Parts: sequence; C-alpha cells; structure tokens
Amino acid sequence: MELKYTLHMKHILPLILALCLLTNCSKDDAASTKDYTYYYPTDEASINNENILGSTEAFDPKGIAIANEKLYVINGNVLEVFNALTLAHLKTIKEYKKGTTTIPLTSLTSVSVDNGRIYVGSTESRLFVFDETTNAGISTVGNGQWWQTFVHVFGVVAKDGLVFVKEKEKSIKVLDASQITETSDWNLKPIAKLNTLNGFTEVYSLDVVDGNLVVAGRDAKSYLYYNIANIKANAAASLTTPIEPQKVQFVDIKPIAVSFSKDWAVTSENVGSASYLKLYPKDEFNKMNYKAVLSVSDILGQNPFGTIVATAQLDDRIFLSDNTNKKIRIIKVNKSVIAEQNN
Amino acid sequence: MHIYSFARYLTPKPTYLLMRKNTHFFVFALLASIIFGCSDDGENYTPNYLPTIDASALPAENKPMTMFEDDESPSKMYDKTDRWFRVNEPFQVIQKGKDSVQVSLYSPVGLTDVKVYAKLPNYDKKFLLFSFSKVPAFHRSFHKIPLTEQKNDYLLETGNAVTIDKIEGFSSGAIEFSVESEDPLFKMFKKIKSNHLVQFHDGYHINELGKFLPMNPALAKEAITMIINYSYALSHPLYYSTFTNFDKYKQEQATTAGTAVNGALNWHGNADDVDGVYDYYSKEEIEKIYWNYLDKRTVYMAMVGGDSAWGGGNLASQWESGYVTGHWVGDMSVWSHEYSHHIGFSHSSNLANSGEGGGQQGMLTDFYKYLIYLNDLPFLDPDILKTYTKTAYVKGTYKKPTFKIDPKNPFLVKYKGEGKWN
Repeated sequence: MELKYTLHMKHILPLILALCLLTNCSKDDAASTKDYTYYYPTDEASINNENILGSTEAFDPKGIAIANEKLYVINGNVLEVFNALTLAHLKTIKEYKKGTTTIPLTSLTSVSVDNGRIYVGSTESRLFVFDETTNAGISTVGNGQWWQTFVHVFGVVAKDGLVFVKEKEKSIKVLDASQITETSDWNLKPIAKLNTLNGFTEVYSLDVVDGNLVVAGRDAKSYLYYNIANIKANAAASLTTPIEPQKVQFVDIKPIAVSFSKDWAVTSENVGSASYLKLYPKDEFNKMNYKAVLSVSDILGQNPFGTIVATAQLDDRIFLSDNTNKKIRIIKVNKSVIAEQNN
Repeated sequence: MHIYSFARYLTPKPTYLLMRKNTHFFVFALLASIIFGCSDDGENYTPNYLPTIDASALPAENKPMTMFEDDESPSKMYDKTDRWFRVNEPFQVIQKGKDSVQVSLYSPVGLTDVKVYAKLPNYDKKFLLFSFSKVPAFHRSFHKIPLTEQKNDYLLETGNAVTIDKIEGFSSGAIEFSVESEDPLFKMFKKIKSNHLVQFHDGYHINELGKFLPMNPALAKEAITMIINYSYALSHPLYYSTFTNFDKYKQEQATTAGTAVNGALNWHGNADDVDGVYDYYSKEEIEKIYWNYLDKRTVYMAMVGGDSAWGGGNLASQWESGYVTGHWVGDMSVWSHEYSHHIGFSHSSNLANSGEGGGQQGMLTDFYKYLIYLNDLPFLDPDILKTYTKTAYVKGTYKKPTFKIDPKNPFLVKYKGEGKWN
C-alpha cells in the first residue's frame, strides 16, 4: 500500500490499462462465437451475341480470361473484348495483323493474358500472340499445319514466363515466353513436354497456382498437377518422355475447367449429365484436398448449368463460359454468416 | 475482442477524474476490471428459436392437404412425379424452388414431434429447421425455408444455438434435410433398411384391362401400408439370419417333420432343375441377393384381375383381396412371389417359387405372420384404414380381417415368442 501512495494519477493509468488486459480477456476469447461462412451464387448478368453490336454470328463461347479489367472471350472464330466491370463490348478481334501480314482468325479455343500479351489458341494448329495494349500481332507459333509445331491447340495458359499449350491427345508443350518475339520463327521447339494421361480433341482449361500447373483433366477424371520447378529441372528429359502429373483419381467426376483467383480454385465439373460450378479454397486445392465451399448445378433452383468450358473471377463475380447454353454467365458469390453461440 | 475490451476500459475515464485518492482509484480499477472485464457475453446469449408447427392446423398459405383421400381423383396417385416415396423415408422432405420445402407423410398413421434438420455445405453441423408437434396421416404441406426469410437462431444437434444470416435462396440440392423423431412409429421406419422407391403405374391396366385393374386411393393407402410393413419384415434381423441360413432352416423343417430335406437344400437360381440337381448359390451370392431385395430400385405396385398375378421388372402386383384384407393376416405368399420376380427370379428358383419342399414364399409368409403375432410390424390394426368396410371403393365383399397364428408356425415353434426387433 505504501508504494501506491507514491504513485501519481498519470502513472496509474497505464497500470489500469495493463490490469484490464491481464484480467479481462482470457475468458472472452474462449467464449467468443465461432463463425462460418455459407457461400451461395446468384445470377448477376449474362453475355451472348445480343451484347455484341452488329453481331449476326451464333455465340459460341469457349476459353475466357480476365486481365486489367478486360474480359476476353473466345467466340467461335473471333476474340471478343468486354469491359469486365460494365460488361460493355469493346471490340471484336477477327484477324491477326502484323505489318503487311493478315491472318483471319478461325476455330479458336482458348485465351490467356500475361505480361502484356494475349495468347490465343486455334484448332488450326496455331498459337497467336497479340500485344495486350494495341492488339497488334507479335508472332504466331505454328504455321497452321497440324503436322508442324502443334497438332491443334485446345488450351493455353501463360504465367511467370512460361507458356503451356495443350494440343491434341495427351500432349502439353511448354514454351519459354522469351522464345516468342517480334522476330522469332513460327516453328519454335518446346522447352519441355507434359503428358495429360488421357485426352482427345476437346477444349482444355488450365491455370498456374503457387508453383504448379493445374490442368482440368476431363478425360483423366482428375485435376492434373505439374510442379513447375520439376518441369524446369527435367525439361530436357521431358522432350523424350513427357512428364506425368500428380493426381487424385475421381470416379464419376470430370473436371472441365479450372482457374485460380485470390482465394479460390474456380472450377467446373461434370457428373453424369449434370454440370457443377465448384469453389475450393485455393490452398487446400493445391494440396489436393477437394472440399468445395460451393457446389451448385443451378442458381437458386433455376437455369441449370451446361458444360462450363472456362471460368474466371473478378472481385466477387465469377465468369462462366457455358458452352451448352451459349452464353457467358456472370455469377455473384454471396456470403451469409453462420455464428455458433455459446448459450 | 481485445479491441472491444479496451474500449470498455476507457469509458470510466470521467469517473476516475473525480476520485480523490489514488488508493480508492486503484480499488475502483480492480473492481471495474472484474465487473466490466470478465462479463462473458456468450453465456448470456438467449436464443430465440422458431415456434413448433402443428401440421394438423396449418394456415392456407401452407397448402395443407391429405393425400390419397378416398374420393381423390386416381390420376393423382398415378402421377409418378407427384406421388412417390422411398420405403425407408415415409416422412419425405423435398426442396421446392429456391426457398420452400414440400413435406409429405406416406403413412396411414400420423406422427408426433418430428424434427427436420438441415445441413449446409461448408458447415458440418446439422441444425433444427422445422419442429412439427403433429403430422397427420398422409399429410402434405409446403413451408418456406426460414433461412430465406430472415436472420434466425437455430438449435444445433449439440444443444447449442447457431445464428444464420438470411440466405436469399438455395440451388437445387444445396440444402440437405434429415428427419428425426422419438415417435415409436417413426423409430420403426428408421429401422427399414430397404430404400426401394414406390410408385403406382396406370400403364398396366390401360394397356391390358382385365388382366390388370385400376386402383383407387383407398387401395393405394393399403398398398403403402403393406409395402412399409413388408419392407420392415425384409429388414428384420431375424429374417436376415433365416434368409442367409436357409439351408439350416430347411434342415430344421425336415427334422421337425421327421423326414429328409424335401427338394433343394438351399437357395438356388433360375436354371432349370434337372433330376434334383440345383444351381445353388454360394454364401456370398446369397448375402448379395438379400441386399438386392432392399436396394434402391423402383417398384410399381399394381392390381390384377385375371387368373394370375404378375411381377417382373418394376412391376409387382396382386389381387384386391391381398391389399384389402390379405396382408393384415399375413397372407403374403403372392406378394413375395411377385416381388421376387421383380428382383429377378423365375419359377425355377426357390427364391420366387414355393417349389419342391418350400421356398421364400412360404418362409416369408410364416415369418410375416410371426411378426404380426409379436406385434412387431409398423401397422397391425386393419381399422386404421377400414378399407374392408369401404364398399364404394372395393369390388369384393370383405369382413374385418382377424389374425390367428398357426401353432405349427415354424418361427413360433422355434422362437416361442422371442425375437422381437428392439
């Protein structure tokens, strides 16, 4: 008590605060409610040819990509560009132009945007590379003949200096993005090859996450993981024996599309005749733990999904390329809090 | 939480400025930390659960109705999209649209205190969605899923409360339902291991009138009552052990009769029996066949009018008398025979046919009668439906069925009143 008398008010204030912290909060922590989140989708908008001024073509959406608030949509023989926020149509890219060279785009399948470039795959055995800002042609890989550089192109993703090109059957060819320049030859040799185990002639969806290339292995009935460090380490040998993936084998589930956002693996899967949109926590997905936080085959009991061949996310909106229903569906992911009480 | 607590402690500030002595202040501070600091919000939470529902007194907005009223148009019972149920789920909850459920009870006797739990993806615990104090026989009604109306408290299976924000609606299958009840009848339903789907099909009598006859809702109620009882009997542990040890059962019959085993020694298949040579099933095959009887396939219940009853594929049928009175006294021989055709057995197999020395028809019938004797079936009293009195809805002339056990019933002889399924 003697000690207390020597204290002044201004000294006591910190003591009080300290006391508060010491005596107060331990119990509160244990007793605090535990919160969970329920996620559910609602329809936000959709895009079809009515959104493209003057379009008379049937809308045939395949691969999609979002970069710098622009939505790129493969639509049959052309690449459509939309404002990803307002969904306003910005332009239709119908041809590859570089200097005096003009190549009409045909039979497109896939699109990826990375590091200032747009990569567009075509079943006419070519990968077109455009400047993201000017949309001018930079280069084409493959000359359009299927026995040359690629046998068709069914999927593409470019990330961190590598370009992964899914071609016919079980093959993915890996290019170094620096191989492709204004002056590079059309017949580039891949730096590595990957084996997708199964596959034929369908559009493929693939993306890169935390050191892995992940392919929606619709034919292999699994997500196929290729460690990128491993690809680099075994690149030369893979040209003879393509690298096989890590996977968890599903029985009835066919993964169709995969893309990664900040938090989620945004995927589509077909089970029997039903098509599902599934969101997995990204880290768990990367560890091959498939516990979806959202798994739906329609929106609030309406408008069942068709086969979703590509997915993308911007903020809380998910973009789905629903090829069966011939539209891009824009879905909002809503949250409801589930709070466990301590009564 | 720390931030919250801090704020609390700063609030008494104007008060302590009035304190004169530091000692007082110190004591005050201690008191304050005890009073303000350690209050435990969680323990004080008082959940506000939704009220229980009496399904026998629902407002019109729930569209309450009784299915299979005697005078209901038979087109309803033959509407396979509207009227169907799995025999192990006579209390059926189906999501309708984004925000409602349809609740149906396929039972001639009502239930009390039925709890419908819901399960959401991404949250492992089930919570109580609807609590029905009373559900009448063959009741159907529609209910808005409370989650879609506003933020509510729900009782968890653990006894704690969970508060869930409003959810605008549900994609198909995004909310799963399960049903629990302490009602003794419901507990019997829960024991049924078969998940056969039951429907009525009018194609048979439309295409072959005479060979098949149209049913009506009064008969449909009997058919539903019978198929639940029959499914319970098939699921019974005593039936399972007798079925999977049929060779022993046959040996016991022979021993009782003081003869050699008559005919086949055990279950055998559809191949023709030549000179006492049978295509016997192995122990593993018999086990598998037992579960085939309880699998998820669909049975269309129909009624015949000609010389013989029919079964096969989805069809199983019997005469009107079987539905009106027969099953109440355990005359299940025809039904067992036709149901076995539906499972895939022909007259060459003792699973369908009584054949030489008896088969499943006889064994099941004796067993079923023993269950009636034990009061060990979900429904035992023909007066819950009284179809035998409904002269406007039946063609035959019936009197109240009265059950009597044959003192030589092999199950009675062997088990002597024991074996009730607890």
